[in-house]
Amino acid sequence: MRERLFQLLSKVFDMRLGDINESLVKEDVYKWDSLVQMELVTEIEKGFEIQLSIDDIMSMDSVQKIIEVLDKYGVKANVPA
Amino acid sequence: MSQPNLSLSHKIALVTGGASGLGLAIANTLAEAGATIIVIDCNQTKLKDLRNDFQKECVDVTDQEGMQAAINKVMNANGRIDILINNAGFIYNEPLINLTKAQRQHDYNAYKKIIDINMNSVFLTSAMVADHMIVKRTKGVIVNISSISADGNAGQTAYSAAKAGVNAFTKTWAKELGPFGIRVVAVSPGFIETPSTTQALSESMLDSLIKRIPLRKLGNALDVAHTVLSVVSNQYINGSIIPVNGGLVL
Repeated sequence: MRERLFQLLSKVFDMRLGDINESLVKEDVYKWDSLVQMELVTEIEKGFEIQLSIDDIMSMDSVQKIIEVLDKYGVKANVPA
Repeated sequence: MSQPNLSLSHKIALVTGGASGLGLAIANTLAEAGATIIVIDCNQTKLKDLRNDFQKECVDVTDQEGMQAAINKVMNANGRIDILINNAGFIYNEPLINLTKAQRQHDYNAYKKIIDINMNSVFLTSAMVADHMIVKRTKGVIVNISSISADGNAGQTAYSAAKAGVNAFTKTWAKELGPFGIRVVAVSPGFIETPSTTQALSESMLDSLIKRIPLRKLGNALDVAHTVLSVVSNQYINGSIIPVNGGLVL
C-alpha cells in the first residue's frame, strides 16, 4: 500500500518517486498548495476507494499525516508494497 | 437511441431571486421537472405569492450572515443542495461619464452596490453551497445567470463588469470543483422580456434593440429557463457560458 501511495503522491506532487518519504511535510513540497490538496483528495479517494471526511482532509499536511488518515480508513499505507 | 433524461426527481434546487421574472420561470421549470425548490428572495410579498410546495427564505443575497443562516436552514431541512441557481441580480444603467448631469462621473456608491448585488453575492452564495457540496460529496451543479452585457455594453459599466466577473467565476470554479464532480455553468441571456428589462430600457431603446437582434424579437423567460434545465440535466457541460440571445452580438 505504501508504494501505491507514494506513486500517487509522486504523480500529484510532480516529484520523483525516490524523493517521496514519510518525513515529507507540506512546506517541503513546492507544488503542494490548496488546489493540489483538492487533487490529492480526489486521487486518494479514487485510488483507495474511500471517502474522506472534511476534518481528515484538512488535517493532511504531511505524508505521515496522510498515512495516519488512511490507516483510519483501513488502508495500511505504512506497510511496504 | 435513448431520450435525454430531464427529470430532476429527488433533486434539491436553490434559486436566488426566484420570486419573480427569470428566477421564477427557472424555479417553476425545475419544479415541473421534479425538483424540490427553495427560493431565496428579498421580496417578502412576492415570496408569499409563490407555490405552496416551494420552500421560501426572505434574505438579501448581499447579507452574508443572513445567507449563511438561510443556507444552513436549507441544509438542515433537506440534507443537501444538488442545484444552485445564482439568479438574483439588478440591472443598472449609468455610463462612466454622463455629459448631461452636473455630477458627470459614475456614482461610486452605485457602482459598488451593483457589483455587490450582481457579483459579490454570487461569490458568497457559491462558496457557502460548494462547501456543503464538497463535505456531503454531492455531485451538484451551480448555474450562474450571466448576461450578454458581460461582453461590455455601453451605459452599463458596473453591470457589465459584474457579469464579466460572474463569467470568470464560472470558468474558474469549473476547474476547481470539477474533480469533485461539481459542475459550474453560466447561462447568458440577451434581452429578455421581463419587468426588469422593460423598466431599465425605454420603449424607443427597446425598438432599436429589437432591430439589431437577428430574430427581431426579445427572448422570453422560458427560453432561459429551458436552457437552465438543459444544462442542469446534461452531465458533461462544465465551465461553459451558454448564450441565449437570439443571435445578438453587442
